[in-house]
Amino acid sequence: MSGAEIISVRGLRKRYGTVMALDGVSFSVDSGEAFGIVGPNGAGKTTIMECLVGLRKADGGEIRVLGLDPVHQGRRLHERIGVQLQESALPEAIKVEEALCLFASLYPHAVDTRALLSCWGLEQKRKVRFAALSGGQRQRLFIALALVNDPTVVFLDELTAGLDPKARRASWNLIDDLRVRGVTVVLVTHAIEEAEALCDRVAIMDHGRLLALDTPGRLIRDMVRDSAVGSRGRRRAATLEDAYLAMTSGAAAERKASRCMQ
Amino acid sequence: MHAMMSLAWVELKLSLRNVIGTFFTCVSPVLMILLFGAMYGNAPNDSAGGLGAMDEALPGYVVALVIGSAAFMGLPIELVSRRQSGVLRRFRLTPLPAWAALLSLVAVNLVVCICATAVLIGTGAAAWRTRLPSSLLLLVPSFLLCAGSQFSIGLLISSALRSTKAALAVGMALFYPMMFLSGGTIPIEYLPASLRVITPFLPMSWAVRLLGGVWQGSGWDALSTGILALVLAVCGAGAALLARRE
Repeated sequence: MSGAEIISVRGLRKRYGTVMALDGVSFSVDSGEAFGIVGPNGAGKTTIMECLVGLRKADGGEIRVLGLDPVHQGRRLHERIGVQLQESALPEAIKVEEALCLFASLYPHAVDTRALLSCWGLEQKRKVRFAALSGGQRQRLFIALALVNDPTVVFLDELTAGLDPKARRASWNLIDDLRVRGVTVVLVTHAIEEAEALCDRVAIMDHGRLLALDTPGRLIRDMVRDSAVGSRGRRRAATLEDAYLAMTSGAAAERKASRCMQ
Repeated sequence: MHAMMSLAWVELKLSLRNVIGTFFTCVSPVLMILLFGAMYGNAPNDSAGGLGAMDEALPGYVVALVIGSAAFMGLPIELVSRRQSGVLRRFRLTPLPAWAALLSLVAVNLVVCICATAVLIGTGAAAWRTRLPSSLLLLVPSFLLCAGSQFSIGLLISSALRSTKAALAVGMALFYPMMFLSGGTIPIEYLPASLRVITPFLPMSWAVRLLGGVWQGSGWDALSTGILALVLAVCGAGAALLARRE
């Protein structure tokens, strides 16, 4: 499903006070790819996402999404991308259907909002105010809003957080469906098994750096090869989570050691 | 344009659903003038050119109670709570420019203020036969300048503050002194000299003066126009500058 390069990030740096949130991150995403970004809290995942969609200006480096600079060409970019973020909200008194129709009216091209409502199980909640929705219902509404403009690239931050198993399955189906239609998906997640199951390639981040970037299969293979335990003594097949834990805890130990030596 | 219209329509519905805000801007001014009217009455007063107490006071009530509550309470609290909760963030991810979102909220607040003013005029006329504004042609632009200058102060507060609690505190700290000391609700002559000193430093007092003059037909006051235009320019530019830094 891969094609031309649709996102390119080179040497991205962002500092908050003394903390380097992003310390020279580079990667690219091809058209039609499902790209995962995983990492512990504070790894810089959300900062990357915010830079990619133009909510935050990086201190250094270069970003192009669909050939556009997210900060200076934000409007043109926003017409073509869909974003679901963690820290976002709608006015408390807005009703579900109202919100969807309003967002549809903000774009030059929009999909059928009725179909989106039924697809995301929000038909019964059409007339319900945002403030009265449960966490899972809000999440489904935000996913629907991210898709209302029939985007070329979709950015999803913690897609399945707060969703019940049924809605989570629906979200997973969504990603498969988007890939079939050739939509590029960037998925930021804590749920490693989600990235393993859904993404073509996964970037593992910690402390503002990219530790590894490859297909889930190859990341696991490399980890098994490099780890001292190896596949011997392991009671089950290695998962991406094992690779992730080996990499991120290893990195932490290394940093600790270097600090002690100073 | 389609986007702006649908946004403005939704904003209007949201503002009507906001029971507390609607009460402060539309209902409480009516209750207040019923109270003041019962106290002062509207008997013609020769020293005021035949105007009654309510005739004289009505434009001040419009500025202090209607425009003031929207500018210092309604608008900042709504904007800050939207920023705090992530509503503005969500809208920034659409092609809608940030100024358009702000403009539609300000426009809707203005519409609500115009309606509340009409209700006050109607209440005054029905209860005490207060006179109608002398010139509608002058009333509209002077009303817009009064509302615009006070709203710009509200916008400056909103862009400087990060939490809804802070917006509420600062809004009240500005609103109540202005309401009582600007001549909007209590005639300046009733204030002790020590308090009267403060009045000219309150931007609202110049709005009371401008709207009052136009309303009573005594003409367009140049000094208050200049001061209100300056307030609008400085606070508007300050709010825009702070918004850009985000």
